[in-house]
Amino acid sequence: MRKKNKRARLIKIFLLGGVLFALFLILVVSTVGRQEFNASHKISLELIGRAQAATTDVTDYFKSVWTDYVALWGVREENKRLREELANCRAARNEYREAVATNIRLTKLLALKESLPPPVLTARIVGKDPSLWFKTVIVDRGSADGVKKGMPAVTVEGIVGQVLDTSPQFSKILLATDPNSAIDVLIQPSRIQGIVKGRNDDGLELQYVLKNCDVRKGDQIITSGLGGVFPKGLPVGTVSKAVRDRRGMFQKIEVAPAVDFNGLEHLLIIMKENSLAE
Amino acid sequence: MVIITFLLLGTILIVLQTSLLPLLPHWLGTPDPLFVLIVFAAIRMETYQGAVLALIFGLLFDIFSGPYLGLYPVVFVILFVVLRLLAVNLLLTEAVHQVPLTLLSYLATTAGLYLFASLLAPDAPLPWSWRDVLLQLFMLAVFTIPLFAFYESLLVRLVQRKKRRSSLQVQAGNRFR
Repeated sequence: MRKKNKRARLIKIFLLGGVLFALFLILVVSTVGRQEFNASHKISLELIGRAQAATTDVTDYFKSVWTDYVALWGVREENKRLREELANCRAARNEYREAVATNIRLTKLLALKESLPPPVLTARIVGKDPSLWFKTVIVDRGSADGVKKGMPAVTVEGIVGQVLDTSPQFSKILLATDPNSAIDVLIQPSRIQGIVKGRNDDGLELQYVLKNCDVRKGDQIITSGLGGVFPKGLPVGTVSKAVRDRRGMFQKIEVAPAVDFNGLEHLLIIMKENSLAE
Repeated sequence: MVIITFLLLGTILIVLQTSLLPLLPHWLGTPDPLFVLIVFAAIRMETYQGAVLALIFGLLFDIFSGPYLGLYPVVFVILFVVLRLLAVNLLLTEAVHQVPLTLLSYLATTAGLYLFASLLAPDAPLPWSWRDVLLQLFMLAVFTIPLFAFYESLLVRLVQRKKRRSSLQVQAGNRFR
């Protein structure tokens, strides 16, 4: 009797193990094959993303308390300067607002929706990649806000990266400094085209620029608009070093990014598929 | 209960590692308590418990790190199998083995991730940085013993609780019927 019970228990364990193993195989094969978040990934990101957002809230609160305390030093003079700046900005904003309204009206009239700049969505970084080899971040905007895979992420300083995957409330962004990132760019003064790739150490590398091209330290690098991800003319960085090796056809060009990736807290997602005219 | 508790603990560690610990200065490196937990699960827990945890942590880590889905579960499960075999066959479960075993595992895992990522995208070679790897190893060397002690105490407490509960269940029935 005892032997039979033991055998039945063993069969149960094997069956359970087999089912779990099969589920694991299905999960891994479907995930690796499609390279997209499946339902379990999305649920996990939703749950853990909320915890990340809460942790970031707490750390942001303590950081802001400290920053506010430090900012009290010389706040009066800064306040006066900022008020003057604000008045100037308000005047400029009114002019720009009018210009944008006119632009939209005329563009609608001309039925040129595509030529209008797409709207942007502000997102807060709630999680950073802890690994040594990859550079990704998690932001608190997801498919529910209209974010889709491949949308570009920028700051006012320049490009940050592109959306890799989304869940309803959160998204994963591949930073431009990741070695898997490749962006089609132009060297602004000479209009020479190249590809900027991440170097993983918060630096960038400009590739496929021929040796006979004139590239100088300090040259600005901007997006070319080719490749269909980033709009044309966004700042990428500045040439920090250009070396012509004896071997090979191309120059070795290092680029200092326009964005400080270490201090990144917020970013803008360009909603490429929605036009302002809509 | 053991799996659920350690799963919750691992999830909290992932949250900390992705939101709080990156605030530490870069020159200091980033502690990796989740990796120590995976090593601990491989050498101190039951085989099925450790395997389930290594797999789930791999799947979770995939969401928050790197562009390739499926990389971490594969690497973590391979790590688990190797460590389990070492722990069972060579009896590497004593306290003196913890630090060298963790450091070697980390080096092997980092090299494995590097290798797999390089194979998946041969046109985007990853730059190997000995400075960063050594910094991580140093941080692991510092934190392995206290983290192992913490995980061990938690595991012992959970196992004792389970034993106490099962002994109470045995005593509850009428054994003379």
